[in-house]
Amino acid sequence: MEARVKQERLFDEDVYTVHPKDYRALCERLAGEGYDFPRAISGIDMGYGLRVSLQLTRMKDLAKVTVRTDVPYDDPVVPSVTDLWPGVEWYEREAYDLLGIRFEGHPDLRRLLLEDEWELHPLLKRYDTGGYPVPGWEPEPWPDPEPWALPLPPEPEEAGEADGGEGGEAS
Amino acid sequence: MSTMSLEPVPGRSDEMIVNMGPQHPATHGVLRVVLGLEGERITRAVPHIGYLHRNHEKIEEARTYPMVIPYTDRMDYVSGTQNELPFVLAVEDMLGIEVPDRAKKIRTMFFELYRLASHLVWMGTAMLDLGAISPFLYTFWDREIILGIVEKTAGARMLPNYYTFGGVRRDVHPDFFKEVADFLDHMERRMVDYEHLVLESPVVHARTIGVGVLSKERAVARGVSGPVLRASGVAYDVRKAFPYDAYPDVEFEIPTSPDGDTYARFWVRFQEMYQSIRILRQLVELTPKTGPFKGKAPARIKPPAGERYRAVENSRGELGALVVSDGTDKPYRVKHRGAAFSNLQIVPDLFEGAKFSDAIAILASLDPVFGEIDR
Amino acid sequence: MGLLGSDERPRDVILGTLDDLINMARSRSMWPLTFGIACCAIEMMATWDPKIDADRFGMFFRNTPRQADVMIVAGTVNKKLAKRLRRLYDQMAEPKWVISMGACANQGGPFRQGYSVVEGVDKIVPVDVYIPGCPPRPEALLQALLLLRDKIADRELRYKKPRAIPTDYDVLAEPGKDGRLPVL
Repeated sequence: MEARVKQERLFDEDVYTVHPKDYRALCERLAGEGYDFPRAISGIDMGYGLRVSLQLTRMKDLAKVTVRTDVPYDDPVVPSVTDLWPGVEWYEREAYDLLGIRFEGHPDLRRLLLEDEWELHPLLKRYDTGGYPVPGWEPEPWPDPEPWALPLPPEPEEAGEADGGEGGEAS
Repeated sequence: MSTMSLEPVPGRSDEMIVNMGPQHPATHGVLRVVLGLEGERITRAVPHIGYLHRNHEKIEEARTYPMVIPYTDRMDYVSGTQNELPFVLAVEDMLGIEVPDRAKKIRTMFFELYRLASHLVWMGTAMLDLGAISPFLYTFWDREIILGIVEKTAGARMLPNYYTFGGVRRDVHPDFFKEVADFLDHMERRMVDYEHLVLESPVVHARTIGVGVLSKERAVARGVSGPVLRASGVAYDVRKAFPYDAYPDVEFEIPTSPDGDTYARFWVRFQEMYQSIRILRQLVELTPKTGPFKGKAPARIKPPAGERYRAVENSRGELGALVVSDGTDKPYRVKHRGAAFSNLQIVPDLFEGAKFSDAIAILASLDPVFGEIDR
Repeated sequence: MGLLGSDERPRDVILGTLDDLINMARSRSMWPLTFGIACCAIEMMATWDPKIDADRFGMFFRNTPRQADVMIVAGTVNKKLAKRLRRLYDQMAEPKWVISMGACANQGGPFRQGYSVVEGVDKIVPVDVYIPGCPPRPEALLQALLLLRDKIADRELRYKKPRAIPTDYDVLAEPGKDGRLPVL
């Protein structure tokens, strides 16, 4: 069976990387486990697709967890978690505004920082700092193995790398 | 859902839609709130932000790591070096840079000095919003003393670009500790005056007690942090939860209040000022007067590929930076988590049902700074 | 900005002296509009604090543009705000002046490369005095206010009206639709 969740420990927090279809179920499970403080949702343009990175804290024992999911450029749809944690409402709007990630189920998904009529999603890597398209920019191929696949058992010389299959981008 | 844009609701013909525009004396910056008013009472409120969106995150992708630090200064501009710290800490974690003890203490001293400066600005402007002009003059005089101390060391008053990877850029000036000690003596006398002017004023009592009550669960679910969260009874402070710099070495308390109303938010900020004075007094004694002010850092800052999120306790709450690196000398993505950005999401919740003048008091107690919100 | 809206100083003795007197009075009571946008706004507030105190020159803030005659643009102007800024400028009554405070208002500042930042407020409104700095010290803002005061009171200078810099692209449109080639 294909693995769809990868869990690792970076520095001092648990990081889950999931398939977009399992994102919502994992978030509901974490909400049930008592993670009640939403720190942020960040959108990151990975070069091969868009990443949504949700960061949560549990107030009781100050445990931190990060949930990440990757979506392709041509279908950037991620389920919204506004009903679980209302504090991510504006963060999701900002990710939509700057990167074009659509959150399904968001109560009011419109632009936050830019004008409503604009069509530009400026934080994408295909645009340069001024908002103009970079000539000759091509998206990278989707990584193989997928970002949420279980890592290969670490070989002795690459014990420092948690997953060797993701290229130079954020691991 | 109260955050939809405002259209007239059939059957509610008494409602007047009023724009509290980006240019307003009491919005603490460029906030636009579209209000539906029925007489004095607010029925709906939709905040619009983005009037100070300066593309920090996109521009920082085109700058090298040391060049990003002055950009972070300009986010929460009343707090100066407090903004630099999450980014600096994240990169130090990724590179494994050791910060010497003296540098940590100096950084913490500047951090707390700027917390005092920020709360002084808050006090002056909050009282201006409520109609009192005198506190503004007193608080800004005290803030000038702080900025003078910072300027002698760092070279600039408000946006000093002083922290760097491994410590601080230059050593403190020779009279630094004496000036800080004198300032703390002056400040302790002044705090008595501020209590009389602000916390014991009958006008402040009438306008803030019982106004804008925020419950504990709503505050946590909304991601609110800082004095607003602590005034609702949750004792969450990043300095105690995930300590950094010299905070493990000093003793201080986290003031909380169970009430959750505007007066509680005022009171919590006052207590934080007392705690800052206490921390600074300890640090003036504890900091070694000679020693290194910067640890060893590589000449070319090139963190290995990876990402790291670090947060600090800003004057407004949890300010965080998510730094994603791809191994080059420019960051791949820097995402700033602004404390006031989360705090401002409760504006629709708190405004509804409140009177219009209460709304001004609520905004004053939330203390938004738009550099951090709009980035 | 002259007597009865004329464009040059009247040549005869009585009206000319009257014109000088009126403009001297105007220069001694410049009322700025509260238009602090960003970090420079804090230094603007610091100019009115007891250390520097621009109040003693007869300048105090008016919150509505109908009653103000100087607009101090303190902070970065971005495309979303620029429309409102122009509207506020149009709502001010003549004679009016604009001070552009800080690097961001002068030419876009450190954020000049950004996609939503206007490179200088002088592309939208005509500017009389520019103050460099990031942020300029309160003393610098005070010097600018005094310079503007002297400009208003001066016989010849007050009739040299600035104009907004014309551009060959749409300043307020989103990048890609504003009709200009990418510029670094």
